[in-house]
Amino acid sequence: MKAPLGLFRKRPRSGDAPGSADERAGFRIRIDPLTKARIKRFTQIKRGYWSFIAISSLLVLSLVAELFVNSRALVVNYEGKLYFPTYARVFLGQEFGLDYKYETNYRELKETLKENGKGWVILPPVPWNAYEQDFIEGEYPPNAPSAERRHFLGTDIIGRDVLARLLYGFRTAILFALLYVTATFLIGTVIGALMGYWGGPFDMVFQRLIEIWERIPFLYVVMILGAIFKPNFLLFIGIFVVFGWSGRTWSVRAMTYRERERDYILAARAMGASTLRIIGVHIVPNVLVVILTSLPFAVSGAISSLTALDYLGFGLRAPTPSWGELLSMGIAQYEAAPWILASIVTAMTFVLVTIAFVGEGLRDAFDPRKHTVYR
Amino acid sequence: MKISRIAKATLIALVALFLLAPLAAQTFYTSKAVAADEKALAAEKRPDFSSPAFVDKSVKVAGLPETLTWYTSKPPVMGSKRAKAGGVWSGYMAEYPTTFRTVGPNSNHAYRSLFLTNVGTININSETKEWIPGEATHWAFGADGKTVYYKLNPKVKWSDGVPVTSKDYLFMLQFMRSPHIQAPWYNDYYTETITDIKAYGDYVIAVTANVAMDKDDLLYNTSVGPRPAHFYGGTVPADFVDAYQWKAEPVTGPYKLLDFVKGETLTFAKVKGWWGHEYDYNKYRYNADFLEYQVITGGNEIVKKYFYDGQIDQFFQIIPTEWSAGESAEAIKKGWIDRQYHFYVPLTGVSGIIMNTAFPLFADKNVRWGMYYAINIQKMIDTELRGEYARYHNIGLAHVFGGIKFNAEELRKPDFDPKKAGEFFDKAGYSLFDSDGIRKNAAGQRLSFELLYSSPNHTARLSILREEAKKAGLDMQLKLQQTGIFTSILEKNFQAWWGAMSTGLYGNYWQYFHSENAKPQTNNFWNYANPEMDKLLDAFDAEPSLAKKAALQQQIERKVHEEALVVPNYYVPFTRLASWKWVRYPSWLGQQFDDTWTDPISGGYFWIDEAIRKEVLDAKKSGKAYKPLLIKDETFKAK
Repeated sequence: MKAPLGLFRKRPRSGDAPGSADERAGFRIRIDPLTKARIKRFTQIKRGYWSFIAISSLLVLSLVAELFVNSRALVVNYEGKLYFPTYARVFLGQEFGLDYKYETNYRELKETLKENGKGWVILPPVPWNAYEQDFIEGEYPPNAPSAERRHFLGTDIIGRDVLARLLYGFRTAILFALLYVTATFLIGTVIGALMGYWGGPFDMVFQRLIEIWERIPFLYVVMILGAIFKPNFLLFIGIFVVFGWSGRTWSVRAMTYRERERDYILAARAMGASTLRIIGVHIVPNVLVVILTSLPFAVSGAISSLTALDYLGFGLRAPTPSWGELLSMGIAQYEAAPWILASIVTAMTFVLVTIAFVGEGLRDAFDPRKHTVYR
Repeated sequence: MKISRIAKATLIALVALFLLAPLAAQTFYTSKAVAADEKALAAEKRPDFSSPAFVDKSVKVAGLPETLTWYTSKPPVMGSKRAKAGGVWSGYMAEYPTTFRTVGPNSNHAYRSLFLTNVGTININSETKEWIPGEATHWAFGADGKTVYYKLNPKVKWSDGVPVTSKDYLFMLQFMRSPHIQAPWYNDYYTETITDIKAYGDYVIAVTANVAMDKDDLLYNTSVGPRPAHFYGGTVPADFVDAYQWKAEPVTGPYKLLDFVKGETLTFAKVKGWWGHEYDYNKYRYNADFLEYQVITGGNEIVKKYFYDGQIDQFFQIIPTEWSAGESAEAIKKGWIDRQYHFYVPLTGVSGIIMNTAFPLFADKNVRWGMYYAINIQKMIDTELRGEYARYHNIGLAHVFGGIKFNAEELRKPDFDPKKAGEFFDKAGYSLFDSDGIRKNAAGQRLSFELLYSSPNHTARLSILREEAKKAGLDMQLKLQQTGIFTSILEKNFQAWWGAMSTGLYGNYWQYFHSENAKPQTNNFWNYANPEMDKLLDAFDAEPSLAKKAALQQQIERKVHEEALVVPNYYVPFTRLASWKWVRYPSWLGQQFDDTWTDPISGGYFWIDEAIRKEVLDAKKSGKAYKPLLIKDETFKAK
């Protein structure tokens, strides 16, 4: 039996199998030499590698965006007691001795505390969230970028900070894309592999089903469901996944068809391996290459679709920060407020190109001609 | 020595040049025709438009069933004496008319009025809302309180030259009642409301309504227009709808259809020797010889390009950002395009946040009163709308009719005050706070609702309200539904609606607030039922006297205010636009209740100066800049 060719290989626990303590303690992930070679190759493709570093750090950064771009203070010291409002409940103004019962305005609190000496406030570098409006006396938004007011990319047409909307919009888009891609690939791979492995009537039924399913106009469904239900994040993921998984089945199905005729599958079957085991342990690792290399392109595709829907006004409910909304606002206001369009276009180009570079790097790293002999 | 003198002179010259340069830059180019008209414009004064009706004892008509007192009025010259006849005006249509008929299927399109320029027996003065003569010179009231006699003007002619007589009015009734026109609403109106028209000779008709009404109401309901009997051969053909699909009827108004290219253009020509100029108030009006409409699809941005390209003459700039963007347009900065800005009192109906009392949150009056304080309309106006729109405090505006004011003008909505709002929300039981600062009650229900709205343009301004409402612990979710919104509204399938309704000469509040309508498929969007309100509404409908009706309407409006059913938003108290310099306007632009002065047919006050067109096009070619001109009339700006 030949060793399966794949990225990760799970090894079942086995009492008398040799190995380290780790190995004996349970499953172990072993990176085989081929995968090592691929990873090495990927790190050598500088463009893809650095793009990967950049986009991952941006993702991590956006997950804790509240610490950098937020109207809530990082730390408040009020009358000797410390408060950390960032991830806490809303502190009403009266809790800090102000005369109102709504969320404290920490920028004002900072000034107040400085004057009365009752404490201090540490604000994030950009002390604005994505929703609040900053109106300057005697001027009308959009306001140009201003370091003094800490609007580093200016404000939009109702005085909201563009940087904040860009960052939180990015978080929504990238999380959306990652969740969407994970879910569709999971479903698509499983169903595709089963179609390929079982073949016959199961394959036939699903093929026809998918063909019919894919003819349903996606945009109309989004519009209709958006009108019926509250168009929130989860509903959107739901709709996208429901209509997105089918496209992922085809290539996995084809690859599985090819793999299942191979000797090692036959051998596994002869040894009495279950269908689940054959697909999970032998086939999927071998077709993973196809999935993995198309993954980044699926991510950038998902970001673009969400942006397009938002741009058309069928996206997430206002005033959720979104790239599509910024884009349409930027286009409408490109004469009065070029910074909106410039920011969003730069950000979109950067993110989409970066992801494309990662995809390109992965494809090259996994290119079979680069390191393997055909078996 | 010599050199230093030269240097000195040069220095002086340079300094002089330096000092004079800004002055030189300040001097604008002007041309002969423009300068002449601008001088006249500066000297022009707003006339007195009033036209009180009076009894004309000199009129005697024989052969009538009763002795009558004939009324008439003599409206003054309403046009500008600067006006020049002639020229071509260019406008646009957002889509091509679906038919040239003015009744029947598909005839209720946006450009219907172009084919129905008929004058009407009598009209309403846009400044004073007094009656003025039209196709009839005099009017009189029958003793039954249901009939109005009209003495027709014998000079009235159809645009094809045939005189208009009482036969055309009798034919109109026959036409409107005919099943062949396939217009049930008109069939019904001219059977149920207008019960009869009688002719007494060629030039007197009597129009009878179904019930006795106040005189002004009666005039309003019985002022009908003729239909050309000769054009249809005296009968309404069975295939009217198809046969007259692309045939324009003769009209009694100043413009008739001259030519068209289906799907592309419509050209209207001034009726030669138009009879209407007999009246003083029509003098210096309807000045252009030709009106050309071309279809421009693709929305406002595309229309704007056509306008700045000089292909159409006028372009509206109502929206604050559009107006301020105009400031930086080259053609406006260089004075080839002028701007006009006129304040008026717009006829306004219910407009604002309409709260559905069937939604449990809004069933509580305290919550509705809290909304008054929690919705910061003023901030929205001051910021997104740049302080240009006017705050609205009522459910009706400009309901002035028969010299009577129908609106409770003293009503004022409170200013934004989160503390006050909080007090009302406390009273309603929403006194606890959720972790995100939104109020909730002891049962854990959040102070939260969905606001349904239909225009993506409004998202920005509603976002302001949403952020401000948070300060009162109120969570306002924005629900945009671009299509089919009115279906949801009629199904009463909403929590609150950001909407507006049009209105008639006075409020018609029965449809909105009567308990009989507190069910789906009616205009009682509030699902509101209150016996006291019902009593007022029933009394209003049964009351024939306008003065008493007005008092009742004011009571209804006060009751609506007190019940806090609507958070009114704003109204647009002006009409403003940009026009190429050859479109000239009176210095006062429009009248108190008038926003039709920008239209060549329903207003017709402006004119096209072809001499100025030539000069401006020359100036544009050589890049010479006129002084930018803004005509602004603030006579009726709300204080």
